[in-house]
Amino acid sequence: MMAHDGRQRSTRWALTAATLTALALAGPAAYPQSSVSSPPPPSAVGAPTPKQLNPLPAAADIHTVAPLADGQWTLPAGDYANTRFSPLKQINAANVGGLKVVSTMADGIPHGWEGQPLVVGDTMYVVTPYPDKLIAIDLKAPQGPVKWIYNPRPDPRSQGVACCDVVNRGAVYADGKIIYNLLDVETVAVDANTGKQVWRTKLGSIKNGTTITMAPLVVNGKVFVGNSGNELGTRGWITALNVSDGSIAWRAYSTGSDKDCLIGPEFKPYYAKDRGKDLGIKTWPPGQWKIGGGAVWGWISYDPETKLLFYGDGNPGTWDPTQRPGDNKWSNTIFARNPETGQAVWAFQEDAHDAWDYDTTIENILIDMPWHGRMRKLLIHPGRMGFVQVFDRTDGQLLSAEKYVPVNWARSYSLQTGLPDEDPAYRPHLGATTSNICPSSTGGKDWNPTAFDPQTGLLYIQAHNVCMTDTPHKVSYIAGTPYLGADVTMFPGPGGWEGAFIAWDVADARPVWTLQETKLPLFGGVLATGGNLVFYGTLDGWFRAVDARTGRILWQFKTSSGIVGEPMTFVGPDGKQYIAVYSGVGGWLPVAALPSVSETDPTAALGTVGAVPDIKKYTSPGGVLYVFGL
Amino acid sequence: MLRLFLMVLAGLIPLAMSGCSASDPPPSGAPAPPAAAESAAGTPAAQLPGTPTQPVNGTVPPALAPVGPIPGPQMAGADPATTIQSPYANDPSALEQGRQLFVEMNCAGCHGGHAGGGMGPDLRPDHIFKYGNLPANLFDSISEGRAMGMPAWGTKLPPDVIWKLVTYIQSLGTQQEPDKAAPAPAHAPDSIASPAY
Repeated sequence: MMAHDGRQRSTRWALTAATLTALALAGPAAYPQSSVSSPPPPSAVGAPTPKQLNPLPAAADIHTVAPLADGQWTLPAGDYANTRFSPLKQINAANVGGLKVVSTMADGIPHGWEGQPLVVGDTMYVVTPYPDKLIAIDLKAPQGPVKWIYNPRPDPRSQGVACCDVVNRGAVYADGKIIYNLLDVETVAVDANTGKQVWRTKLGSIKNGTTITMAPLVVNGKVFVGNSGNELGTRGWITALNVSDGSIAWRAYSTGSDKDCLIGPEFKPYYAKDRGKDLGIKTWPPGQWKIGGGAVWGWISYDPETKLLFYGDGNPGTWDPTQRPGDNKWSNTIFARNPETGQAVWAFQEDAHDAWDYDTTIENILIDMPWHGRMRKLLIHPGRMGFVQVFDRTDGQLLSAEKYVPVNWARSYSLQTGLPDEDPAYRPHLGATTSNICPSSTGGKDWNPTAFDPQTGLLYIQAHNVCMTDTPHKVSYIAGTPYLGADVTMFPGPGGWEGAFIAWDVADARPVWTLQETKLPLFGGVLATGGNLVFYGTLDGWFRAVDARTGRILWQFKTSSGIVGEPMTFVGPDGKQYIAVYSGVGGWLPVAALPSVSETDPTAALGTVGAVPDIKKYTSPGGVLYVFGL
Repeated sequence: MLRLFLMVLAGLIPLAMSGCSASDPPPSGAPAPPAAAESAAGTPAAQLPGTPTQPVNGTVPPALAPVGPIPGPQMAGADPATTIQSPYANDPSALEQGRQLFVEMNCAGCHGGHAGGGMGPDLRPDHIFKYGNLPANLFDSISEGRAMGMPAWGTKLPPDVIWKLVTYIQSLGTQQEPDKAAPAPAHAPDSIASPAY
């Protein structure tokens, strides 16, 4: 067994933006390429073949803005910028056909295994769905025996307050601690060596419908945590805790007064639509903001250059928009904040007075690249509302918004006003049934994160094609119960496809190729690597390696359950590169695979069952960690 | 629909103010004691399903007093749980009210628009009920709550309301099921523009 030093490894894989740029400029010749004309490898027989829609983007001077996952994986998305790109290339397009399972670990918890493991030094850390156990696996010994298990025993009643399965999207490493959130609204820090709890902070109560499912992020000694519970009348917030002792440094609410939302003199939104005093109160009926949602349950990004924290918050409650006239700020809003103080720097509300549950909690990818001739600091937001948006992250200016799935709720976004050009025929309201709204509440994609490859300039999107019928109805707030107010039925969208793995050309705002799924939507995350590879999983359990440029499937493996997890990669103590992913179906739309949900009720699981009525034919729950190597 | 909800809330107020003593008359609108429960309840000490009871030593705030004792094996007799029927079985108007209550008390949000599950489990007949699906079991589950997160509605709803919910749940998948779910379309019309994926 090779002695291993995470630090050395870190150096080994550290790539400067300049190196990367050089690699990117070198073009396809720099990478092992497979021939497009050769037959598919035996393992990929029956897998979709790519549809070429547009040429690859021209080579561009793309700069990553934060250190990439360099062999370890210490942050939820691998890096601060949420690229989910690792420069590792021992496993590459030329040899990936020989990828094999080297280790598995079944925990068996029959719920959605969202999120990804961490690797710090010689240890892998796995966070399970509820009961939110933290499992440390020794990578020095083959087959990875368990070093220890930390069992936080969260309040079991939290299971009854979680809107969309009892999921957990993972942990973050900082300062010798593994830090993550518990479903019952707690954040814990665990000693990464011993598994002993260092601190544990209660951040809210399940009694008002609050839970936590997101993966926190750490920047400069502070850990950032957001809540869940928009379907239960929670009030959204992001909270900064001190990594040293778990004490709360600041909290910014998504609704309420400017003071509560940490909106002050630094706040300079780009568009007039987002300017005004105390909009978090004034854009609601009296008092409604207190149960108005805007929970921060998605991914957080950080830009070390501009020193800004970026995140989106969630939908306003209730789903019946008629009960909450007004813009309902700051629901469905992207915020840029100062991580030290929490003070807002800019904000962009995606859809004022949301009527579709188009949460804006989707990841924001930070990248520097030429935009219409000049280098710009970009924020890419592949939104649930069906558009890939590109912003200037320094000031919140919208530079582009193009549809990546069938969309009819809006025709376009105005780059001048930042407003969507809505089609009123597809806006639900009380007293009517609105049919064929695209996309459904689950979006063109949901929380399941994309990956951006700075070598190809492509954003890899796991999209799904689902539409819905929406009938709002009156609902009364009863603390700790769903505060929904709409009957929703979802179903497959137009065009004969249910899911698409899309290589999206950010610079030209168009798809380059897609891999189409006709049986089931896609609902897991993506990993891109320096080996000219992209990895993703399907709801029927296939885990695939795809040529990053051509979309050709080079390898696939059938795992035991549907994949909603995010693949990650690391270098083991033996100096070899590995790929890891969770298999374990569940979460919001895929929860229809669980025995506790009936395929006979299309409105079940918040209306998602109608979209995947036969999912039980293809997959069943049960979590397993897979580790692959050459 | 809203009116029914307000009626339920109005029903809660006298329940709360009464102190819920065993000697209080049943809340307005409560059903006559079910015959099956009466005969099954065996001993004089046994109370009828859903009859309000006296808080112990006054430690329980009146507003939170349970509506129990609730039907179950502890009720003496051979196996009363198997024989207790909803007082509203075969009552079409109660069935409709049960459906409305299911939506308005936010049961639908957890258990699905037509009880197919989601946050809470599927309640339709193809599901295996962890705590049983006999009328008495269902009453217990609603009234007492369950460890996985089901709230104890016995502290908030009078027994007649719980029985109406039980009646609705029993109707699922039968001819009598009110307001059945419309089937989902096979797919959205192709007239909606789709990228050429």
